[in-house]
Amino acid sequence: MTKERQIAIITSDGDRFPVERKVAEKSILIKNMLKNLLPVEGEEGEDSESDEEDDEPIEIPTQNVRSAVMKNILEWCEHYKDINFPDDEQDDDSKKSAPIDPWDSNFLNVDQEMLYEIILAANYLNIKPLLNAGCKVVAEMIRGKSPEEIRKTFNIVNDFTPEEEAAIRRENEWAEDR
Amino acid sequence: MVTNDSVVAKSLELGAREFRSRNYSKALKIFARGIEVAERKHKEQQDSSSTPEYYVQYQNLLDSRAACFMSLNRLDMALKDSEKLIKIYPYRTKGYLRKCDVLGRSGHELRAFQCIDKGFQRIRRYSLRHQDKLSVNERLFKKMEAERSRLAEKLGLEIVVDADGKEHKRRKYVSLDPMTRLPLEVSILILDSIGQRELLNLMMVSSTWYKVIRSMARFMKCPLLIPNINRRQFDKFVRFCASCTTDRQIGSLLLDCSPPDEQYILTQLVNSKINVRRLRIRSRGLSNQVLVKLLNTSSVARRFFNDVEELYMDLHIIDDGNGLNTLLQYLRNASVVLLNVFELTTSMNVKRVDQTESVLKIANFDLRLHPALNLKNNRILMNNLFHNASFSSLKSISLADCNVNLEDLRRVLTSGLLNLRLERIPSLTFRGLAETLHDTHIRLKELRFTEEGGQGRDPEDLRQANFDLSFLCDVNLLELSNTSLTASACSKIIQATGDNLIVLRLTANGHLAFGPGPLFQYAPTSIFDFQQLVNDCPKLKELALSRCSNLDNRSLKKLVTEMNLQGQPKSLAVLDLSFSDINGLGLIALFDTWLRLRILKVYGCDISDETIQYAEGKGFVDRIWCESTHSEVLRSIAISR
Repeated sequence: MTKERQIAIITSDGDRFPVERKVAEKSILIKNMLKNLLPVEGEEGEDSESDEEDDEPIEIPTQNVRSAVMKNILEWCEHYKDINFPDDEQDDDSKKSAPIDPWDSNFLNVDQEMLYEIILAANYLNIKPLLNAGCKVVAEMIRGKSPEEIRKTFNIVNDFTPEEEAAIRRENEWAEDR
Repeated sequence: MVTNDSVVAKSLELGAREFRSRNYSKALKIFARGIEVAERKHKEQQDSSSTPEYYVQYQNLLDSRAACFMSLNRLDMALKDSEKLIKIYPYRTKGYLRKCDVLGRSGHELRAFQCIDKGFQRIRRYSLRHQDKLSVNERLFKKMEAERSRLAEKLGLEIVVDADGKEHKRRKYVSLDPMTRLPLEVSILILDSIGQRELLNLMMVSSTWYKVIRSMARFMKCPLLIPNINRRQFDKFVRFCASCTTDRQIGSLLLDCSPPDEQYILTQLVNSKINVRRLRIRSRGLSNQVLVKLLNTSSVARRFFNDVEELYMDLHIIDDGNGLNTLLQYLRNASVVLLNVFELTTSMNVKRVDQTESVLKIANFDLRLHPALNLKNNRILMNNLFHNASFSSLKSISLADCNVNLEDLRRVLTSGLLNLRLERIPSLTFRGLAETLHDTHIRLKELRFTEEGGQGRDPEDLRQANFDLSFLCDVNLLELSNTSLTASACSKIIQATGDNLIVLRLTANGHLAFGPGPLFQYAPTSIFDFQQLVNDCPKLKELALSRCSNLDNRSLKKLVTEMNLQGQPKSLAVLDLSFSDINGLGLIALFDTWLRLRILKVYGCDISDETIQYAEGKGFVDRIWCESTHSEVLRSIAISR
C-alpha cells in the first residue's frame, strides 16, 4: 500500500528528472522542501482525502541548474544515496584537511566551466559534501602555484602594476613562510 | 474656466517642481492629472493624420511619472509608463532609457540590454533614412550607446560588425576566475585550506583576489608571524591588521621578537588596538620590570593585558622585593598563565614594600624556573609569591624547579585544586607532599610528581605514615617519576586511587623493582604486585612502565597472566615499556591475550624490525614507537596536527 510518491526535478531548461526520494534528499534544500510537502512514511495522519492527488508526482523546480549540470549532480547523489553525512559543523578543521575522496576526485574531473556550475549548484541545493569536494578540487588547482601561474590557469587579467605588486609583497613581510 | 492647455502645461511645471523637492507622491498626483487630459486628447485624435495635440507634453508627462514611480520604488508601474512611452512614439530615446533603467534596477540585465539595443538600432536606422525629419537628442543618444555597451560588457557579450555592416552579438569568452564566478562564501571556502604565506602571495593575482583574501577572517584568528621579527616587519603587521575588514580580535598570537626590538614591539602591540586572546611571547630579554613599567604608565597597556585570556611567556625576573606579584596583579582576566623564567636577578634597589595581599584569579598557573638559577633568590621569589598573593580560583598549578618550602606550598594548595604538577622541587619527597595534602580536602584529578634526586635517597615505603592518601581518591592521571618509592609504597598509592585511574605512569623510580634482580637479594618482598595493579585499575587506558628496574620478559609475563585471569583493564590502549629489558619474545607473548593496543612504545628495547612488522601486521597494535619507527611516528603526529 505504501507506494512511494514520485518525485521529479525540473531543471532551468525544462527537463524532467524523476528521482528516488533518498537521492533527492542529498540536497538539504530539497529535503526541507519535501519535509513540508510529504511527511515521512509512518508519520502521515489524515491522508485519506488527498489519496487521488498522491499519484501525481511532486515536481521540484530548480531555476538555477541546467540539465547537463543536474545530470552530474544526480549521479553524485545516486552514488552516495546510502551514506549518511554527519550534519555537524564542529570538526570543520579535520574536514578541511582531509584529502579528497578518490571517487569524488574522479567524478569532478570535468572542465572548469562544468566544475564551477557543479559547485554553484551544490551551493544552491545545499549539498555540503559535494560543495566541499568541489572546493577542494579548485583549491588543488590553486595550491603551489605562483600568481602568474594562477592567472594562466584561470585566464585572469592582472590589473596590478608591477609597483603595486611589489607593494603588496612588501606589505606582507611579517608573515611566516609556511 | 481652466483649459486643457493650462492643465497639461501646469501639471508638467508643478509636478517637476514637486519632483525636484522630492515630494514624489505629490508630484505623482499632479502628473497623473495631466496625463489623464493628454491621454484623452491623444486617443481622440489618434486616427487623424495631423500630429495630435499635447503630443510632446504627453510623452514628457509619462516619462516624468515613470521617474516618480522609480523614486517611490514602484518599478512595475514605472515599467508600464516607459513601455507606453515607447509605444506612442518609438523613435525617442527617453522611453528606452527609462525602461532599460527600470529593468536594470530590478535585476533583469539581459532584458534591459535587449530593450536598449532594440531602441538604439531602431533610432539609428530611422535617422539614417529620414535624416531631415527626425531630430534626435544627440546627448541622450550617446547615453543610449554607452548604456548598451556597458550592459553588453556586464553580460559578457561582444558586439561584432560583419562584412555587410550587420551587427552580431555573441558571447565573449567566459572568465574562469573562481573568485568572480563563485559567490564570496564559496571563494573563501576554497581558499580556507591554503596556507597563510601562500595566500598572502595570491593577493598579487588580481585586485579581486586581493579583496577576497583581505576579507578572510582567518588571518585574525591565528596570524603566523615570522620568527625573530624586527620592528619594521612588525609595523607592517600592525598596518595589515588595521586595514583588515574584520574586527581586530586575534585568537592566538606567537611573538618571537628580534631581541633589540622586543620592548618596541610589545609597546606597538599594546598600542595597536588589537585584542589578543592567547598570547605567547618567546623572548630573550624581556623582564618583569619592563612589563610593569609599561603597565604602570599606559592605560592602553593595562586594557590590552586585561583582555588577554592566556599568556605564555619567557621572562627575566628582576626581583625588586615584590617579585612577580606586581606583574601578576595586572593579569586580571587571564585564566592561563605560564611563565618560563630563564633568568633571575635581584634588583639593586630593593624596595621591600609592605604588601597588601593580592588576590589572583588565575585558574591555570604554570611557573618554570631554569634549574641553574640561584637557589637563594629562587626561594625568596617563591616566598614572596605565595606569601603575598592568594589564588582565588586555582584549578591547576604546575611548578618546575621552584624552590618553594612546604609552608608556602600549603598556602597555594587549596580545596578547588584539581591538577597538580610538581617537578624537581628541591628536597620535596612524595612523603612530604602527602603530609602537606593530607588534611586539605583536596581531591586531585591529576597528579604529576617528579622528585629531585629521588634515586639517591633511602627507599621510601610509606609504612609509618601519619597521613592518609584520600587526596588521591578521585585521581584519573597519576605520574610518579624519579621517586624513592618502593613497590609496597606504590601499591598503597594505587590502592588509594579507588578504581578511577585512567593513566598511570611510573618512570625511573630507582627503588621500585618489577622482578628479582640485585635488589631482590635484600628485599625479596619488594617486588611490584601486578595482581593488585590489574585489580585496582579496571579503567586504565594508558600504562607507562619506563626506565623501570628489572622489568623483563618474566615480569611482563606476570602482567599478562593477571590480565588474562582478571579480564581487565579492557580499554588499555597505550602501553609504554621503553628502556626495559624486554625483547621480541616478551613482546609477542604480550599479545597472547585479548590485548589489542593502539600505541606501544618500546624505545631502548632490543626488538627487531621483523618483530615490529609482525606485531603490526597481525593487528596486535596499530603503531609501535621505537627508534626505527621514530621519524615515521613524528611525521604522522605532525600530519595529524
